[in-house]
Amino acid sequence: MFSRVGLEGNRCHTVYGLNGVEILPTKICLAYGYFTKVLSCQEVWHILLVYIYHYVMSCNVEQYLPIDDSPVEEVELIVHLKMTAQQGRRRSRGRGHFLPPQNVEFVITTKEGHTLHLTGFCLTDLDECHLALQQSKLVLRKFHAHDGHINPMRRNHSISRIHMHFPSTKFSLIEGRSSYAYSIDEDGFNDVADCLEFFCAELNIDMTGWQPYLRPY
Amino acid sequence: MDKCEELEQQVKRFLVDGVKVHPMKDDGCLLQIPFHDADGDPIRVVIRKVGNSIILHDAGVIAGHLFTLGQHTQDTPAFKLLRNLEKAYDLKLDFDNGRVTTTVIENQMGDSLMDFSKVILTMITAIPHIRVEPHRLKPLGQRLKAKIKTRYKEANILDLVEHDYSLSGETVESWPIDFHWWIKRDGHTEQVYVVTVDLDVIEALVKAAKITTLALDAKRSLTYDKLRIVLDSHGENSNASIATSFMKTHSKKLQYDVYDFGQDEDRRIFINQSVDEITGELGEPWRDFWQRQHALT
Repeated sequence: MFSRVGLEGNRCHTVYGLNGVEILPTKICLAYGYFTKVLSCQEVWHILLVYIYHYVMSCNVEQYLPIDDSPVEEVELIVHLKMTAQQGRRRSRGRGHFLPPQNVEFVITTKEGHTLHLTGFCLTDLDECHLALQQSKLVLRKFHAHDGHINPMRRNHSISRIHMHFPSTKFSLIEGRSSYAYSIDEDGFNDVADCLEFFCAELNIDMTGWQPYLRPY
Repeated sequence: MDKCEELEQQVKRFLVDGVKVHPMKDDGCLLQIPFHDADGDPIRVVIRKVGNSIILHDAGVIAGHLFTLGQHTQDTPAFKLLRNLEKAYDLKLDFDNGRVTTTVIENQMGDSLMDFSKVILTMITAIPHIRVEPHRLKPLGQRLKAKIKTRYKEANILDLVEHDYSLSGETVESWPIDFHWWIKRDGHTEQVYVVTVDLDVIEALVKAAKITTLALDAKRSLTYDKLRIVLDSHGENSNASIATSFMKTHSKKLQYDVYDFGQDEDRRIFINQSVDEITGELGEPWRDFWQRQHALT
């Protein structure tokens, strides 16, 4: 079974045989692009076949953790399932709702029936984007586009402007003093829709049918 | 150099190195203070000069934290904390842009900046630890409550009523009560509970059903206590009239009074009744009690 097939820049895509995860065409193309740079044609076809028969999951966060820490198993099991997004109701502009700029909210359902929340906003003054995927109190992933993140004890430093936070057994997301993040290739983001598109591709979230809100930001 | 001096140098170096200022696109400056949030991300303050004053704002970071953790509505504990800080530190909540801002005079910049940083730090550190109760029942009439508050303020009784009270139920742990006070009559204490309900928005029938369930389930003395339901049925919602009729029909059976705030007569009766009870002779013990409570808090 493959554990990892391609690595380009700071971003990785890992192949695991995890039951219940479906393949998205975009993922296959993405993986194919990576393979051609590091492997021969025969190997590419071989891997592609295995890839089709097995399943794709996004970045294996274990590689970014020091030896004395580990990923949160419960989180990793959920994050690597196929997910579907539906627009949520949290962002309705009721009177007295104190909302950040360019806010979005989705209810995410996994193939195994977990209900998650994806919320996001962009700080337009700072050209920054923040997205968070959570299950009740448990925060599974946070996607950030801003400078200055520091990993706990400055491990695996430095972290690029665009990065993904994940919880570990020692450093949870949100409630702790800090959390680990891994760097993602810098592509630049114009607004929250760009960030969402990237985040959903990274985590295998199907958000077909969603269109950016038409109101001016 | 003794140990303390060495420590002082170390701390100063750490603090000074942690401060960074970056220019922004629109003439403002972005100040990074030597503190990080729970993700390990730096905390920043936007500083912009407008005429003789300086405007500080958080760029939407606090609103973002509130939104992410579902505490961006008025009835949530983290939002209430922000409201308290707004008063205490003379801040302004910019609802259009989702920013917390403050305007300072140039020669008070240092102190104001430290205060503003303190507010951001407090909010960002505290929000994840102030959780909303799971399965809480949301208030049913936020808009109407704001209208009543305006009337109470005009009548000078806004500070003499207890806001956001809750009443335990037989089966439901806690029912939200918008205003509460009590009066003493013939040696008995009569509790007054006011619940507001907006019927001009969605789910009018669901709200009416919740109100009647509250009246049935909430633990109260049916002999002495008074439950007052104030509804607002303005608008074109056809369900609103059915919901109004539903609540009025069951009011005698479930022992509560209904006031339609959209009707001049009902509104006048409700406000006058509140004012008479609170400011009159019957409300004197309550006023003493409540003012003592206020003094303590």
